Amino acid sequence: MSTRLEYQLEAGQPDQLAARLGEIGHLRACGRQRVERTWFDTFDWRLYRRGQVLEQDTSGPSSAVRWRRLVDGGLEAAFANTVPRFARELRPGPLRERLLALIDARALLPAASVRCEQTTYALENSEQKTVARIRTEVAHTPGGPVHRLAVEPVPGYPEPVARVRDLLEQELSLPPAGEDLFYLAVGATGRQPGDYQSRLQVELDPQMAAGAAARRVLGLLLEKVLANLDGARQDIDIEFLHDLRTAVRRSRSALRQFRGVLHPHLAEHLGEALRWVGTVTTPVRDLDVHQVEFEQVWPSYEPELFAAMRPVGALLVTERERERQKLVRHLGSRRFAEVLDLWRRLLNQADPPASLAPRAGEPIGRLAARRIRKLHRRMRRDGRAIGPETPDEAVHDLRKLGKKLRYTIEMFQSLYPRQMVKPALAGLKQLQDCLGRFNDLTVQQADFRTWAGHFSQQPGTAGTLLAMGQMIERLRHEQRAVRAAFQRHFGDFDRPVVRRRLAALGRPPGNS
Amino acid sequence: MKTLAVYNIKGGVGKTTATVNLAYEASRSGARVLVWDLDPQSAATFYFRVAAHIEGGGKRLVRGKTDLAGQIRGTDFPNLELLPADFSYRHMDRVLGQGDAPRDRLRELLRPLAKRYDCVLFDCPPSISLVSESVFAAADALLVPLIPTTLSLRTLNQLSAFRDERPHLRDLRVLPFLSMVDRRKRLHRDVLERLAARRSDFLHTHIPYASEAEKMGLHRAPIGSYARRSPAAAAFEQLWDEIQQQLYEPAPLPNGSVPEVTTPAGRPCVICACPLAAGPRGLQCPNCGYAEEG
Ligand SMILES: Nc1ncnc2c1ncn2[C@@H]1O[C@H](COP(=O)(O)OP(=O)(O)O)[C@@H](O)[C@H]1O
Ligand SMILES: [Mg+2]
Repeated sequence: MSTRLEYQLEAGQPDQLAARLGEIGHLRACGRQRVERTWFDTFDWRLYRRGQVLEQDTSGPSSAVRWRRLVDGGLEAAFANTVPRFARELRPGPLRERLLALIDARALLPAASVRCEQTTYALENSEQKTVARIRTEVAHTPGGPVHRLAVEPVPGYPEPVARVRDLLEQELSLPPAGEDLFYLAVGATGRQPGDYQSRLQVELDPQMAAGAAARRVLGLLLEKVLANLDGARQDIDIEFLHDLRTAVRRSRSALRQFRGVLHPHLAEHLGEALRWVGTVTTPVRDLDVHQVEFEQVWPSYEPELFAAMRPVGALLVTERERERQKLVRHLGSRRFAEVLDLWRRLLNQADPPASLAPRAGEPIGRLAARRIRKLHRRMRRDGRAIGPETPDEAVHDLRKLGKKLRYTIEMFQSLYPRQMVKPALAGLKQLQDCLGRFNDLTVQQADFRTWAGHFSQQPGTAGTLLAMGQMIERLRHEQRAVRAAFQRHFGDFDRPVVRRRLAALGRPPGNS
Repeated sequence: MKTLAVYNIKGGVGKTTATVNLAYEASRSGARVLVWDLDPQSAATFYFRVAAHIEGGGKRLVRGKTDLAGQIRGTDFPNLELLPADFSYRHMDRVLGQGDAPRDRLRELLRPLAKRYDCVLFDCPPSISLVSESVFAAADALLVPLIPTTLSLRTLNQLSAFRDERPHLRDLRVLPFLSMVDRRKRLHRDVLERLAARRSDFLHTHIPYASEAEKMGLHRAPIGSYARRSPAAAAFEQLWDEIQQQLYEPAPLPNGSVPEVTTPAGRPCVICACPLAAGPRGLQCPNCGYAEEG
């Protein structure tokens, strides 16, 4: 809505200013406060990436939060509370909905804080109506005190604000504030806003040797694993483990695509080791997914069904706790440390002799195109062979193949013009969603059966068992529908435009 | 954007008091709120210290000839804004009647504001007229303050009957609550008790009779801004929570239907595998900005 004007001040200036502003309207002092100002964002900077920040001012027991835009200071929301850890903790209402849409299951973490002393004023017209809010403050940043003055116009009263502006800019020549305090404060912590994102962004050049390209890709993926390790151990939010697992899966896929490029024994060992990491991290991730379903989807079932499923929800909690303890042990184990060592060793190796790695010197553009071409071809061949009677295994295999294709395209996307990559991935997406859902439904049915086994040994759980039977029936019902939709999705994927888009990636880029 | 109308056929039941205080509590809870004072007596406008004036008058506003957004005034509180009343609103019934589709008029006028506000609250004049019909058609819910007397409970039943007779109002929620409850009065205590036993459609929170509420005219501000710890301020805060619960909690599905099951974190983005979230133009990736149209 309204935007904010901000100026630099010098020490001692505020008091003179008050007198001058009083000539425009009645300047009512609203209070002088020491506040601790803290900025919050998710680990992957979801607010910052949208050009927004959550800013909490705490003073003794009271605190106020502003959710505002960085570009013009305008308010997205203001609330008299503290920043919640998770959006879902907020009470039902628009704030919760808006924040959830942006940060979903990610935790809001403090990114930086500074101490401020601020004085707030309301500029009032003759009817005692506030027409602008004015704040002077000193922020004690690690780089020294920063003096500022902010003017927040109130909608519908443009004239007094124009006069304030004239006074500050023309008569007093106050310089504009420059960088938002948020940047100064975060910069002082050693982090940079936007310094982590889940997305894998590898810059490659088509002429680069495949060996160097492989090390760059795997190096970035190792960084992703390391970046998420603490968060996954401490269970800050479920996305840390998810991102860690994704990086591991991408690495395994990359190792396969870089056959003949890396040292074969090291690569094979690392592949094996990463498979182990995948396996030991799976139970917690699966339980995370179930738990989110329990909290977000199941409550919309019929009340009787949901009530009967409550014991399952409780089981999820205890199971997850148990699995988490195992996970923490694995991530802290020697074996895990050795995986990281092995990974680093592979990265630090020069290209092995041609007898071991014949393709290490091949231009990466050519290798990338060949891999994409092959995967695409296999995917079309295997997909076409799937009919209504084909066993489910073939569908699962196709999902894995599709994932390989997607990971490979993403890994090599910097080799191609952007406008070629997005449509190609989009053409794959619908089919992948369908295959992914099919797989999820299989896993969920299996899990429900496992839990049913658990409850069947306890007395007084008939209602829960019946409800689980009902759930399995639903899942199976949906799975049949998804399987029936497969032919259509595959047909869409295999239609000429999508084929052409993917085929274009199968031609070596950059040597036109 | 949710649209709520504080409505009762009768005057003096606490409509304006509820509008002003609920709007204030809503903005404190993080919503972007607009109050539209539809009552030519302009009490809500007065409480927010805004001049009761619409440039060109109500007629031009209703006909779409005045830029409605340009008439909005900020209050003394962040994210709480007001479309003021104007004395000419007393002719609004006639003005609506002269135009096409008068019932849809207010809803259409509000449409451009849907992105700017999370919540619009109407303070309605006490009558049943084309104005109130237009309010009903624009609203997601009617908040109906009632003083605990049997007489006013009858007006509620009339209101529900009015809604039930009109198919286009099928989705309109009617959320009654008790206002100006004085526990020292026997009748009030009786009504409270009987309601608790028989009427599940009432909001549970009621607004106590309170001297802080009467002082609003003196302070010209919502109660919570000058008497944060008073029972009346607490009651309005709680009432707002309860209303939100009604509007934003998912309603249970009808028996036997299969819910739309989505993957928990939302579908992943094709570019970076982040969960997609609902954005202004369909599903969007909060990480890389990839948008999936339609
Ligand atoms: N909870 C309350 N306690 C005491 N007085 C109240 C309360 N609510 C409203 N009043 C007073 O009752 C009168 C009518 O209230 P108002 O909100 O203007 O009703 P309406 O808008 O329905 O005509 C006003 O003088 C107001 O101050
Ligand atoms: Mg009134």
